[in-house]
Amino acid sequence: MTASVAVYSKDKAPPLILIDDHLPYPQAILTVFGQIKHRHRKKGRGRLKHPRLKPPADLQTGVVKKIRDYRGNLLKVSTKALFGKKKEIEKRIRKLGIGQKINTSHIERLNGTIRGQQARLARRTRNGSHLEEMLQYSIWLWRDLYNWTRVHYSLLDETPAMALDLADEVWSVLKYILYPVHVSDLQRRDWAEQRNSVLESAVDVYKRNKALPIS
Amino acid sequence: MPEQKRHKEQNNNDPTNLPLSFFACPNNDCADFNHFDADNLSIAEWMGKDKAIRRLYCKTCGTRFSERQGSLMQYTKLPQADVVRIVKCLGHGCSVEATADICEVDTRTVQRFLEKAGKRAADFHNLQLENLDKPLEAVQMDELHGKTVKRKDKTEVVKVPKKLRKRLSKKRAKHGFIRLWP
Repeated sequence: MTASVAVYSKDKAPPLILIDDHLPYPQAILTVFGQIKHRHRKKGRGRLKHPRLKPPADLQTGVVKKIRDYRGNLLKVSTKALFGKKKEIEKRIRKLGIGQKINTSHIERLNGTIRGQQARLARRTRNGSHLEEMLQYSIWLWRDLYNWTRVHYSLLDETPAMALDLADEVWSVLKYILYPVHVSDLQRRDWAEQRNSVLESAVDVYKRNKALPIS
Repeated sequence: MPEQKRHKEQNNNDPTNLPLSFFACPNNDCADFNHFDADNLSIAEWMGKDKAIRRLYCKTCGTRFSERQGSLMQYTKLPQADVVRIVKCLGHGCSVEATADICEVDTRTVQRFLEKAGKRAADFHNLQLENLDKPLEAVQMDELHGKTVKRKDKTEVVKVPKKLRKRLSKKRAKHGFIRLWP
């Protein structure tokens, strides 16, 4: 997920990232966006420390943390800045018009919609997918129909594709079906390569490119 | 079991109305590959049972191709209305069996369509993202858990040499085969 964010930010400044307190996120964000941090020996003898990853200066990441009691009841929602300053993150959020504080409400709403509209993802269902691929295909199809053919009230009766200037009108399902999609194998390989290159951290690239001693 | 192949009539009005600017050359080696509204296409002939499908001709590379190429209607005999209904049902989250029942087609047809539509949707999404000019400003990330039935591991049947058969139990050694579990 972080890789696709990095691929589509297209060598520009990293976007504002808002996450919940799921444990793998910080490392994943660092792997994708992180820069190499060389650590110098302070004093004395000993082996040089291995280089590490550090967040770039313009990366801003906010975290929403839910505090619950032993029964799982929500007590409090706290927010913090993972990378960057909290005040600056909140200022940016207000400027973008996606809230007042650090939040993940938009993605939670989307998750609710997809759970409601896809029987395979509903909670306590017996309609689960047998194959992982079929679940993936149905989600991809749903995503396209959601982005191109469904009108959103919050976007003033426009589709997300129209909001991003990718479409001039609301597409009908028939138009989506008849639209010709031509992708060459070379292009698919190129996309896969882009994704793999983003997934390789700066430390891995450094280790790969490090010249071996000659003697 | 639902009745199969209920529809024989086909509404051929809509696809013929589509302008040529809606299509692009599917040949990878063509200079106008995937270029829409490049003014390089003309109608070569009408084909199909009812002569309702256009075969297009690319002036740049000389390729002839069906207007259905790259669409979900490619290689299908189902009428257009049925395909729309199947995609709508799948988009609204109906299960494969429910979709098959509603659209009065076989479940295998729906499964095939889902696979085809899913792969095409991924390609379509990636292609459209390349046209995106605006950079990402803010991203919210969250995880969504789904459940799938655990897949059985693939087993491989291997012939056992006679020497080893003695070590195996009688039941297994009788056939002379064992299953390797990866």
